[in-house]
Amino acid sequence: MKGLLIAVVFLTLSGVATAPAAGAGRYPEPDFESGYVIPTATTPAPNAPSWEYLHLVVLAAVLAVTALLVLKVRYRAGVYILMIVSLAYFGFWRQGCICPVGSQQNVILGISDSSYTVPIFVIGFFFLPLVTAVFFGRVFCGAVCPLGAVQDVVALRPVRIPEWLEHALRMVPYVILSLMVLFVATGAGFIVCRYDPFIAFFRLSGSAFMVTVGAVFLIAGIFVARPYCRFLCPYAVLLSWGSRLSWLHATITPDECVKCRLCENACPFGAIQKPTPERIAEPRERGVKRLALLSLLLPLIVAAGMVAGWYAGTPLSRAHKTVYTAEQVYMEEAGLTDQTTLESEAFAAAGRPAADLYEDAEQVRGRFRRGGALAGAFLGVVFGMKMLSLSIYRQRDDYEINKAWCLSCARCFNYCPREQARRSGPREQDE
Amino acid sequence: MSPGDEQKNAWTPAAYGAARATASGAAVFCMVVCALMVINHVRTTAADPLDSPALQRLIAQLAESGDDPIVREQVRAVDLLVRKAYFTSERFQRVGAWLLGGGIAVMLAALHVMRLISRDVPDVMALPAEQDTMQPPTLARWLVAAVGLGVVTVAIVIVARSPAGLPTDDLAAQLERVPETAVAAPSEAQVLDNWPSFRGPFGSARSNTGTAPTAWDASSGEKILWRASVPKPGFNSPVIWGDRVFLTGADAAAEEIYCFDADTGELIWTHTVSHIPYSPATTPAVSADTGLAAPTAAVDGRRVYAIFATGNLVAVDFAGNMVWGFNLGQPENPYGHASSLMTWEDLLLVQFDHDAGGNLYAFDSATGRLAWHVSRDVFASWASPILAQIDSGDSVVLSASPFIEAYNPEDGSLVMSVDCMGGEVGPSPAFDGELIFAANAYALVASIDPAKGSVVWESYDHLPDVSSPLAADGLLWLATSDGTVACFDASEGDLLWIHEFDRGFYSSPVSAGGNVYLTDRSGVTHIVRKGREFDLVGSASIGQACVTTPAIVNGRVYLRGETELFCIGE
Repeated sequence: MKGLLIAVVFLTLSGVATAPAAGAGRYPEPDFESGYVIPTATTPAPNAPSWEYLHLVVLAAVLAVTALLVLKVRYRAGVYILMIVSLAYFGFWRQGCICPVGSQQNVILGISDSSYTVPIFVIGFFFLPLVTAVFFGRVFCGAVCPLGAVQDVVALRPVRIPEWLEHALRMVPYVILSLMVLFVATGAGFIVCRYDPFIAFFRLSGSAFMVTVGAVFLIAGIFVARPYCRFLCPYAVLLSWGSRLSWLHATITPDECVKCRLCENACPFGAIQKPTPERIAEPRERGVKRLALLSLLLPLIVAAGMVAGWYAGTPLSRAHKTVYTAEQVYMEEAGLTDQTTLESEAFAAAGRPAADLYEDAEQVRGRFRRGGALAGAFLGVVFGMKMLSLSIYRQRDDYEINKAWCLSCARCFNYCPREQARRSGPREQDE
Repeated sequence: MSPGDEQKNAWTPAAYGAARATASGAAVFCMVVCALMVINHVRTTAADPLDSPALQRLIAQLAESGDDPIVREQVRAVDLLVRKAYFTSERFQRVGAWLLGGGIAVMLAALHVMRLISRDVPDVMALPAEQDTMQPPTLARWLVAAVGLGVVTVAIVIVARSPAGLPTDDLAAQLERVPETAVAAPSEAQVLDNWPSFRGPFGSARSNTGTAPTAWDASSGEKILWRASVPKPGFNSPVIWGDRVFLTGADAAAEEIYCFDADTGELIWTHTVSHIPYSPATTPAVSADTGLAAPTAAVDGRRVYAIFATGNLVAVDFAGNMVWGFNLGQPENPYGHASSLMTWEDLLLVQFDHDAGGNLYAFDSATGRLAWHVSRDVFASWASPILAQIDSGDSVVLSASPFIEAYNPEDGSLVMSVDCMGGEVGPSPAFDGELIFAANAYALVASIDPAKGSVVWESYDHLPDVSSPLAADGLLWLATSDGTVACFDASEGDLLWIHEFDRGFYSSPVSAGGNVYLTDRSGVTHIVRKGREFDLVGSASIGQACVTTPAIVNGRVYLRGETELFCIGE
């Protein structure tokens, strides 16, 4: 416990202390001639495409090995070692980019903007984990994702979150996904990358704010295992959809469940579902009525989401540089502010009339309103369907894995006596 | 218990102790590194090296000493010192981050080992008893609904908390100026009755309102109806609509538009250009013979439009109030912007060819809104647009190097492009109803068939570098900076005659009645009868230097001299 407290203190301090180290140092040139020739600023050349394809091959290989370790070998230590390797490779060496979580945005932009071409390897980074999830579950989350790995290594004292809260919090990634699609499709930017809480650690560089946010996530991750993966990650939504349909998926027991309850609290992510009693504590009629009512309410929920999204579109559009600049220029023109911004100064230097900018901004706002309405409708469907699904009772006889929530980390295997028996089976037979 | 398990149990406490010691050691290490980094961070941010008291003291001392070389060296030495300190602290933080990362990794590894060693079989007996009835997930359902409502609430709050004072809907509509009383664009007849732009109606340099005086003398006052001082300098020419004459002037202090009474010369109003967002803070560098107000204004009976070397483009109503204005970007050219404005129906056409690229803009003349814009692959030019009828439709014709081009003013589509021009183009093109003429010093004079888009004839002698050609009555007139006036047969290109005057011409020749008015740089206007032979009708002076082009309307000549505007007539 002491060690744990020490860890908390250090992780907090590390956030504060690394922040200044992270900021790119800038210092003005001397205002006198010293004879020193200021070197020309250079930017590093991008990676050669061959390297990017190599990374794609590595991703495929790690996914395949993880699937093998989870589904066939059922070996948690192997998965953990692979996770550390992935953290080092995809996190610290590749500096977290491009990652499948961020690649979603490239793919969305490629769909929404015909002038943007998504590189093949980026498409590969996006689809490989998804395809793997459809076949083998979320093995990408279990051992490959650097964002997940950096949280997993600090998950020292995870507490179990009540199921009712888990259900509610797991709706947040849908909101993030909707916003992400809206912002990317309207050209506002890649918000998931911009607010990636761990990228500052991978790059040893970042704003003090983002380093602090990352540190907060890691500290929270000591007690709430993988909080970002469970309650924020938009890619997890897609992976969970794929995983629900998975052809093969990890199981707690290698053969049959003996209902020993040893695995009941084994999963720090709340992905183990208990067997259900046969009797239900409410009359069947009430459940049917509720189901009918929610079915009738679903269109209203969707409509409410659309309306809210439409109206939120205008203020959200301020995240787009055109709207932001237009409003700044408007304020400057109308004498509402004396302060100029880099954007407004750049616009002035470009020599375009402000009216053009306002028209462009209005078009962007229109896109945001329409996109906001679609995003709101999507969220309405998701929330409505979730409430419907929570109103349908499913019978379970054994301890089972929730395929959507399971991160294929293989932790639960070791808790199962049938698994222990499987491992020591030949020796026992010898004895 | 197997022997293996016994052996394992024997070393377990030792392994656990080692892991704990490692974790503690790593923790202490991390704490020390953290503390040092925090201290370094506080010191670095608290003491900005640029504000180093020692450095500031020395800089002040340097100023007092009148640039003492010893003090200057001391400033440099201290400056170097504080820079070294700054970059050393930055390096310290970077190394510290790596050390901290390593320390945390070791600590986490040790903590995981401790967890593994101390892990027990779960105590099933401590788990809550299994229930015999399934509880419906009511709480989960309500909480999901609450999260959904929370999202909607956040959306409402975002909308409600939109910063006050900013237009939240239809930004462009809210920025519409108060619409003026709708006045239709001037008819062709109205344009021909006035002098709305540089070189008159459509830039033709032909007056359509009868004859004009052929003799005057400013020193004696002969035929000088009035003369008025122009407050600020400018090499732009007068434009006239009805009883109003408009000029612009500018110096480093201000840019102004002047409105004179055409009958009395009274300065009715002066509009000082102001509150133009992004107007350059410093006066652009321009050559002395271009100045800050070289472009001639344009007027369409509703508003007068002006552009200056700063790139400020403004529209002012006939009462002198600004209708709209913005900065088009400071033109990048070595002499200063000189291309004049032209109106066409409800559009204001702006030729904006500079080093950063060639451009033709069309703005809504009522609102200043961009109607269309064409990027042109040409070099900087100082010529002005003219209007020509090509294939029975209006076209705006531009001269620049290397292209003579015509565009449809409705949408900016290219109508004609001829690659024939060169040099730094100052003279504007001319149009006689059939052919387009363009000339420039050190290049050529070319006659272009706009329907075919090809050169009909070309010549390489007697080329102007500022003055624009005049095409009228089957003749083409060129007036050069060295004082030569050449007359060509417009359709064949034959040189009919040349005449050398004493002073050169920057002013462009203008036709009125049966005569051509050529004003030289000394302010003497030579009136030559239009004909295939040289026939000087007379010469008349305003008594001061002149580089502008006369405006001739209703029998009066309006001519801007170096400091005054003259009205000459009966």
